[in-house]
Amino acid sequence: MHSFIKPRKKKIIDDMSSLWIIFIILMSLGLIGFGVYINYKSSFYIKMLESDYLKQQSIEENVKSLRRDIQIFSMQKELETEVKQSNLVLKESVKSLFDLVPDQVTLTDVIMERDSLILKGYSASKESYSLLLEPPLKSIFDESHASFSIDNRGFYRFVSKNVMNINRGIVDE
Amino acid sequence: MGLFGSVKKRLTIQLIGICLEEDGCNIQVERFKNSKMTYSNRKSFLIESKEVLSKEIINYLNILQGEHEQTYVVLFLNTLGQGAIPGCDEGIYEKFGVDKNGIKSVCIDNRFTIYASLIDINWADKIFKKVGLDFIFSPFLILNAYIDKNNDTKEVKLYILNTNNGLTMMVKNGRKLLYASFFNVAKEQDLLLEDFENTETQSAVNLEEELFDEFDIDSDETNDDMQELDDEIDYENNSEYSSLSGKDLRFVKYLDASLKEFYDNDLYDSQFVTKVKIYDDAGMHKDVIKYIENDLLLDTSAENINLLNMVIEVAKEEVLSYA
Repeated sequence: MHSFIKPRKKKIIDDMSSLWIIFIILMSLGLIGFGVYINYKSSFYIKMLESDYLKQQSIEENVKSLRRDIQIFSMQKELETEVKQSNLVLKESVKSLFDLVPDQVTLTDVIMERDSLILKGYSASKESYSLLLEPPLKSIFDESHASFSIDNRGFYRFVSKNVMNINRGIVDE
Repeated sequence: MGLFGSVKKRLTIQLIGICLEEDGCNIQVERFKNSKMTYSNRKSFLIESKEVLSKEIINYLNILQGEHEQTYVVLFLNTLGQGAIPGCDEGIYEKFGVDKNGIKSVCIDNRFTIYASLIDINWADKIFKKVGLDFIFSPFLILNAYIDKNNDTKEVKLYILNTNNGLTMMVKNGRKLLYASFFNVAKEQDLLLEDFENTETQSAVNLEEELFDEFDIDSDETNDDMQELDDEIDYENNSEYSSLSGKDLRFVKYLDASLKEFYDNDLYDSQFVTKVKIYDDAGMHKDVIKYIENDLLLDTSAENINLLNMVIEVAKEEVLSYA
């Protein structure tokens, strides 16, 4: 420096411009701050939304499994009533079967299935079977066949196969 | 130059060079952008006193400063209380009888020291209080800038900066300063004619001492020489130079006295001066050159200059290099 005094300090920009620049800086800082705040808040809400969605999903699954359980229980209940009913039916049919059998016929085996009935027994004569037992059997079953054989004592041993064609009167599972 | 400097370079820099004289004030304004001049204007104002700036000047300067933030107000200091001495060591002040506490000094290129009295610097600060000042340049600095610019020879040469109210002289051997002095040629404080003749109110010795103190010349040693000089040349009655005005006459006398001082005073490394180079801002009389050539037998060359151009050029360098 070759001068006897030092120069006064100079501003690169005048007062008005510096005011503007300060204002713009403050504004942008405010905007950035606001943006950061919004970003933070939105990510917070997004997280909350995600967790809510997951919760909702688990609840939905829960509801589904509960519904399945309800279905299972109602089915079990239906099954139970069906079983009860079929037992009742069975009981009645056994009772009516024994009512059906005349005194001249003695049963040794009764194999009762859903749609068939196999009777094995003795009969004093073929006629007592075909007159007393066969007509009611034929009226109940669609098909009724009987085969005879004579045993040592002179009794007719018969095997009667009776088949019901369709699942008539029985509730499907 | 840092970031601030490179930004500054691209801004418009306005430099206002001011030269205050006894009855007028010259103001030159130049604006630079990217080191190129974009505006230049020169204006002169009349002033009543050198002690107070007129309202017109203050208004003019303040309006200019209001237009550009990067405005530097530069004052060319042409008061008597200043000088230049060879060397930059601590010991030079004592050697040349300069009161170190009463001055502000600047070392130039480690070659010589320019100084001005604190009174004068405070005076400048005071009258520019309403405007503000950035640089105060010594006339020696400006003269040296002219010398360095012209990259003159290595011979011993006397350089003179002739301004309207001041006479700045430097004797240099190449880049080395041998002698320097500054005189005010506008005022009628004529050491050789007036003061020595009119001794009614003040004794000649007192006045002489006062003036020599300001020039920092050892008055005891030069007293006799000056008296001799005064006796030898009767400038006013010399018909050959009767065309010279008071100012030019004083120019001649101070030049004479300075050369004598340079040769006779042991303080200076007196080498024989054969050439004179005058940088003339005041438009001096042709007879002055004639006188120097014929009577002092010095090879003289003169160049017309615009002082404030150089003041602004130096200020521009200062602004850009010290940003």
